[in-house]
Amino acid sequence: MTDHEIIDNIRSGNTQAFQLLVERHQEMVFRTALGFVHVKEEAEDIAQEVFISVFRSMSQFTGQSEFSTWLYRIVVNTSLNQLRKKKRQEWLQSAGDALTQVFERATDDKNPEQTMLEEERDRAVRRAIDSLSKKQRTALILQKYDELSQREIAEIMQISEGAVEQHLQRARQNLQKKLAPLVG
Amino acid sequence: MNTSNYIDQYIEKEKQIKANPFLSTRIMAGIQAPGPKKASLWQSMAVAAGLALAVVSGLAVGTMYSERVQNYAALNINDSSMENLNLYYNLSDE
Repeated sequence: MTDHEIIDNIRSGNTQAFQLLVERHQEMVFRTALGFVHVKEEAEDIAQEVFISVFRSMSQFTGQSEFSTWLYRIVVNTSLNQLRKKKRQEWLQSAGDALTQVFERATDDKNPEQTMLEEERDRAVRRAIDSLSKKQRTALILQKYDELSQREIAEIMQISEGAVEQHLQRARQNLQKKLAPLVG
Repeated sequence: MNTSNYIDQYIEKEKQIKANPFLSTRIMAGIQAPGPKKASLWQSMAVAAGLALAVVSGLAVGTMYSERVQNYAALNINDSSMENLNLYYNLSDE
Protein backbone atom coordinates (compact mmCIF):
# COMPACT_ATOMS: atom_id res chain seq x y z
CA MET A 1 0.00 0.00 0.00
CA THR A 2 1.45 3.38 -0.97
CA ASP A 3 1.41 6.43 1.28
CA HIS A 4 -1.24 8.07 -0.90
CA GLU A 5 -3.50 5.02 -0.60
CA ILE A 6 -3.12 4.99 3.16
CA ILE A 7 -3.93 8.71 3.28
CA ASP A 8 -7.09 8.17 1.20
CA ASN A 9 -8.04 5.42 3.63
CA ILE A 10 -7.52 7.72 6.61
CA ARG A 11 -9.52 10.51 4.97
CA SER A 12 -12.42 8.14 4.43
CA GLY A 13 -12.57 7.62 8.21
CA ASN A 14 -10.19 4.74 8.96
CA THR A 15 -8.11 6.26 11.79
CA GLN A 16 -6.33 2.96 12.44
CA ALA A 17 -4.73 3.17 9.00
CA PHE A 18 -2.68 6.06 10.35
CA GLN A 19 -0.73 3.55 12.41
CA LEU A 20 0.68 2.11 9.18
CA LEU A 21 1.95 5.54 8.24
CA VAL A 22 3.45 6.03 11.69
CA GLU A 23 5.26 2.69 11.65
CA ARG A 24 6.57 3.36 8.17
CA HIS A 25 8.00 6.79 8.91
CA GLN A 26 8.61 6.99 12.66
CA GLU A 27 12.28 6.02 12.44
CA MET A 28 12.96 8.71 9.86
CA VAL A 29 11.13 11.33 11.91
CA PHE A 30 12.94 10.31 15.09
CA ARG A 31 16.36 10.29 13.41
CA THR A 32 15.86 13.74 11.85
CA ALA A 33 14.61 15.21 15.13
CA LEU A 34 17.57 13.64 16.95
CA GLY A 35 19.91 15.41 14.55
CA PHE A 36 18.50 18.72 15.76
CA VAL A 37 18.05 18.12 19.49
CA HIS A 38 20.62 15.32 20.23
CA VAL A 39 18.49 13.99 23.11
CA LYS A 40 16.54 10.76 22.65
CA GLU A 41 13.56 11.74 24.83
CA GLU A 42 13.19 15.13 23.16
CA ALA A 43 13.38 13.53 19.73
CA GLU A 44 10.56 11.15 20.76
CA ASP A 45 8.47 14.09 21.97
CA ILE A 46 9.04 15.87 18.66
CA ALA A 47 8.10 12.71 16.76
CA GLN A 48 4.81 12.50 18.67
CA GLU A 49 4.10 16.18 18.05
CA VAL A 50 4.87 15.77 14.34
CA PHE A 51 2.54 12.83 13.81
CA ILE A 52 -0.29 14.41 15.77
CA SER A 53 0.15 17.56 13.70
CA VAL A 54 0.17 15.47 10.49
CA PHE A 55 -3.01 13.67 11.52
CA ARG A 56 -4.83 16.89 12.35
CA SER A 57 -3.75 18.66 9.17
CA MET A 58 -4.18 15.70 6.81
CA SER A 59 -6.65 17.71 4.74
CA GLN A 60 -3.90 20.23 3.92
CA PHE A 61 -1.81 17.60 2.14
CA THR A 62 -2.71 18.11 -1.49
CA GLY A 63 -0.60 15.28 -2.90
CA GLN A 64 1.42 17.57 -5.17
CA SER A 65 4.62 16.37 -3.52
CA GLU A 66 5.54 13.07 -1.93
CA PHE A 67 4.14 12.51 1.54
CA SER A 68 7.67 12.01 2.86
CA THR A 69 8.68 15.46 1.54
CA TRP A 70 5.76 17.07 3.35
CA LEU A 71 6.58 15.07 6.47
CA TYR A 72 10.24 16.12 6.40
CA ARG A 73 9.18 19.78 6.24
CA ILE A 74 6.99 19.34 9.31
CA VAL A 75 9.79 17.56 11.23
CA VAL A 76 12.29 20.30 10.39
CA ASN A 77 9.91 23.10 11.40
CA THR A 78 8.84 21.36 14.60
CA SER A 79 12.47 20.66 15.54
CA LEU A 80 13.51 24.25 14.89
CA ASN A 81 10.58 25.50 17.01
CA GLN A 82 11.63 23.16 19.79
CA LEU A 83 15.19 24.49 19.62
CA ARG A 84 13.88 28.05 19.94
CA LYS A 85 11.97 27.09 23.10
CA LYS A 86 14.95 25.13 24.39
CA LYS A 87 17.31 28.07 24.02
CA ARG A 88 15.45 29.87 26.80
CA GLN A 89 16.13 26.98 29.14
CA GLU A 90 19.74 26.46 28.05
CA TRP A 91 21.34 27.23 31.37
CA LEU A 92 19.19 24.61 33.11
CA GLN A 93 20.03 22.08 30.39
CA SER A 94 23.79 22.52 30.77
CA ALA A 95 23.53 21.98 34.52
CA GLY A 96 21.51 18.82 33.88
CA ASP A 97 23.99 17.57 31.31
CA ALA A 98 26.88 18.08 33.74
CA LEU A 99 25.05 16.07 36.41
CA THR A 100 24.13 13.31 33.95
CA GLN A 101 27.75 13.02 32.88
CA VAL A 102 28.94 12.68 36.46
CA PHE A 103 26.53 9.80 37.14
CA GLU A 104 26.87 8.06 33.79
CA ARG A 105 30.64 8.10 33.83
CA ALA A 106 30.75 5.92 36.93
CA THR A 107 29.17 2.98 35.07
CA ASP A 108 31.37 3.18 31.95
CA ASP A 109 33.74 0.30 31.37
CA LYS A 110 36.21 2.26 29.25
CA ASN A 111 39.39 3.90 30.40
CA PRO A 112 38.16 7.09 32.18
CA GLU A 113 40.64 9.33 30.40
CA GLN A 114 39.65 7.92 27.01
CA THR A 115 35.96 8.32 27.90
CA MET A 116 36.50 11.91 28.95
CA LEU A 117 38.35 12.74 25.74
CA GLU A 118 35.60 11.18 23.64
CA GLU A 119 32.91 13.03 25.54
CA GLU A 120 34.74 16.30 25.16
CA ARG A 121 35.13 15.70 21.44
CA ASP A 122 31.44 14.80 21.07
CA ARG A 123 30.47 17.93 22.98
CA ALA A 124 32.65 20.05 20.71
CA VAL A 125 31.14 18.50 17.58
CA ARG A 126 27.62 18.96 18.94
CA ARG A 127 28.31 22.60 19.82
CA ALA A 128 29.79 23.21 16.37
CA ILE A 129 26.75 21.71 14.61
CA ASP A 130 24.39 23.67 16.87
CA SER A 131 26.19 26.91 16.05
CA LEU A 132 25.44 26.62 12.33
CA SER A 133 22.72 28.77 10.79
CA LYS A 134 19.25 27.21 10.48
CA LYS A 135 19.59 26.49 6.76
CA GLN A 136 23.14 25.12 6.98
CA ARG A 137 22.16 22.92 9.89
CA THR A 138 18.99 21.67 8.19
CA ALA A 139 20.85 20.84 4.97
CA LEU A 140 23.62 19.08 6.91
CA ILE A 141 21.20 17.01 9.00
CA LEU A 142 19.13 15.97 6.01
CA GLN A 143 22.29 14.92 4.16
CA LYS A 144 24.17 13.22 6.98
CA TYR A 145 21.39 11.76 9.12
CA ASP A 146 18.83 10.97 6.43
CA GLU A 147 21.29 10.43 3.54
CA LEU A 148 19.13 12.43 1.17
CA SER A 149 20.34 13.70 -2.18
CA GLN A 150 20.74 17.41 -2.85
CA ARG A 151 17.67 17.30 -5.10
CA GLU A 152 15.57 15.81 -2.29
CA ILE A 153 16.93 18.33 0.20
CA ALA A 154 16.15 21.17 -2.22
CA GLU A 155 12.55 19.95 -2.51
CA ILE A 156 12.14 19.77 1.27
CA MET A 157 13.71 23.16 1.94
CA GLN A 158 11.99 24.66 -1.11
CA ILE A 159 15.22 26.13 -2.46
CA SER A 160 17.36 25.40 -5.51
CA GLU A 161 19.94 22.60 -5.63
CA GLY A 162 22.63 25.23 -6.02
CA ALA A 163 21.53 26.87 -2.79
CA VAL A 164 21.63 23.49 -1.02
CA GLU A 165 25.18 22.92 -2.25
CA GLN A 166 26.18 26.34 -1.00
CA HIS A 167 24.67 25.75 2.44
CA LEU A 168 26.43 22.37 2.71
CA GLN A 169 29.75 23.84 1.67
CA ARG A 170 29.49 26.69 4.17
CA ALA A 171 28.40 24.25 6.86
CA ARG A 172 31.50 22.10 6.22
CA GLN A 173 33.78 25.17 6.25
CA ASN A 174 32.27 26.50 9.48
CA LEU A 175 32.55 23.12 11.16
CA GLN A 176 36.17 22.75 10.13
CA LYS A 177 36.95 26.20 11.48
CA LYS A 178 35.25 25.52 14.81
CA LEU A 179 36.74 22.05 15.23
CA ALA A 180 40.28 22.94 14.15
CA PRO A 181 41.48 23.09 17.81
CA LEU A 182 40.43 19.43 18.22
CA VAL A 183 42.80 18.31 15.49
CA GLY A 184 45.57 20.47 16.92
CA MET B 1 42.13 12.13 12.34
CA ASN B 2 40.63 15.17 10.66
CA THR B 3 37.52 17.12 11.60
CA SER B 4 35.32 15.39 8.98
CA ASN B 5 36.09 12.05 10.62
CA TYR B 6 35.13 13.39 14.04
CA ILE B 7 31.85 14.72 12.65
CA ASP B 8 31.06 11.48 10.81
CA GLN B 9 31.91 9.43 13.90
CA TYR B 10 29.63 11.56 16.09
CA ILE B 11 26.77 11.39 13.59
CA GLU B 12 27.14 7.59 13.22
CA LYS B 13 26.97 7.27 16.99
CA GLU B 14 23.75 9.30 17.12
CA LYS B 15 22.24 7.33 14.24
CA GLN B 16 22.67 4.15 16.31
CA ILE B 17 20.27 5.51 18.93
CA LYS B 18 16.89 3.86 18.45
CA ALA B 19 13.51 5.24 19.50
CA ASN B 20 11.40 3.60 22.19
CA PRO B 21 9.72 0.55 20.58
CA PHE B 22 6.36 1.73 21.96
CA LEU B 23 6.60 5.14 20.28
CA SER B 24 3.92 4.28 17.71
CA THR B 25 1.55 3.21 20.53
CA ARG B 26 2.21 6.48 22.30
CA ILE B 27 1.58 8.43 19.09
CA MET B 28 -1.72 6.63 18.38
CA ALA B 29 -2.81 7.26 21.98
CA GLY B 30 -2.01 10.94 21.52
CA ILE B 31 -4.06 11.05 18.32
CA GLN B 32 -7.06 9.32 19.86
CA ALA B 33 -7.07 11.62 22.89
CA PRO B 34 -9.48 14.54 22.45
CA GLY B 35 -7.71 17.64 21.23
CA PRO B 36 -7.87 20.99 22.97
CA LYS B 37 -11.33 22.47 22.55
CA LYS B 38 -11.41 25.90 20.99
CA ALA B 39 -14.18 28.21 22.15
CA SER B 40 -16.39 29.71 19.45
CA LEU B 41 -16.42 33.47 18.86
CA TRP B 42 -19.88 33.78 20.42
CA GLN B 43 -18.77 31.95 23.55
CA SER B 44 -15.73 34.23 23.93
CA MET B 45 -17.89 37.32 23.40
CA ALA B 46 -20.44 36.11 25.96
CA VAL B 47 -17.71 35.56 28.55
CA ALA B 48 -16.21 38.99 27.85
CA ALA B 49 -19.65 40.63 28.08
CA GLY B 50 -20.35 38.82 31.36
CA LEU B 51 -17.07 40.04 32.84
CA ALA B 52 -17.70 43.59 31.69
CA LEU B 53 -21.22 43.47 33.21
CA ALA B 54 -19.81 42.22 36.52
CA VAL B 55 -17.25 45.03 36.63
CA VAL B 56 -19.82 47.72 35.76
CA SER B 57 -22.30 46.33 38.34
CA GLY B 58 -19.61 46.37 40.99
CA LEU B 59 -18.74 49.96 40.21
CA ALA B 60 -22.42 50.96 40.23
CA VAL B 61 -23.07 49.29 43.60
CA GLY B 62 -19.93 50.86 44.98
CA THR B 63 -20.94 54.40 43.98
CA MET B 64 -24.49 53.95 45.41
CA TYR B 65 -23.19 54.21 48.97
CA SER B 66 -23.15 57.73 50.30
CA GLU B 67 -22.21 58.85 53.76
CA ARG B 68 -25.31 59.86 55.75
CA VAL B 69 -25.13 63.16 57.55
CA GLN B 70 -26.83 62.79 60.90
CA ASN B 71 -28.51 65.82 62.34
CA TYR B 72 -28.44 65.35 66.03
CA ALA B 73 -31.34 66.91 67.91
CA ALA B 74 -30.80 67.99 71.49
CA LEU B 75 -32.34 65.54 73.96
CA ASN B 76 -34.77 67.02 76.45
CA ILE B 77 -34.73 64.96 79.56
CA ASN B 78 -37.84 65.57 81.62
CA ASP B 79 -36.95 64.31 85.07
CA SER B 80 -40.56 64.19 86.22
CA SER B 81 -41.56 61.77 83.50
CA MET B 82 -38.76 59.39 84.34
CA GLU B 83 -39.60 56.30 86.31
CA ASN B 84 -39.73 56.96 90.01
CA LEU B 85 -37.36 54.51 91.58
CA ASN B 86 -38.27 55.60 95.10
CA LEU B 87 -41.32 53.42 94.92
CA TYR B 88 -39.12 50.34 94.76
CA TYR B 89 -37.04 51.46 97.66
CA ASN B 90 -40.22 51.94 99.79
CA LEU B 91 -41.54 48.50 98.86
CA SER B 92 -38.35 46.76 99.82
CA ASP B 93 -38.41 48.42 103.24
CA GLU B 94 -41.83 47.02 103.89
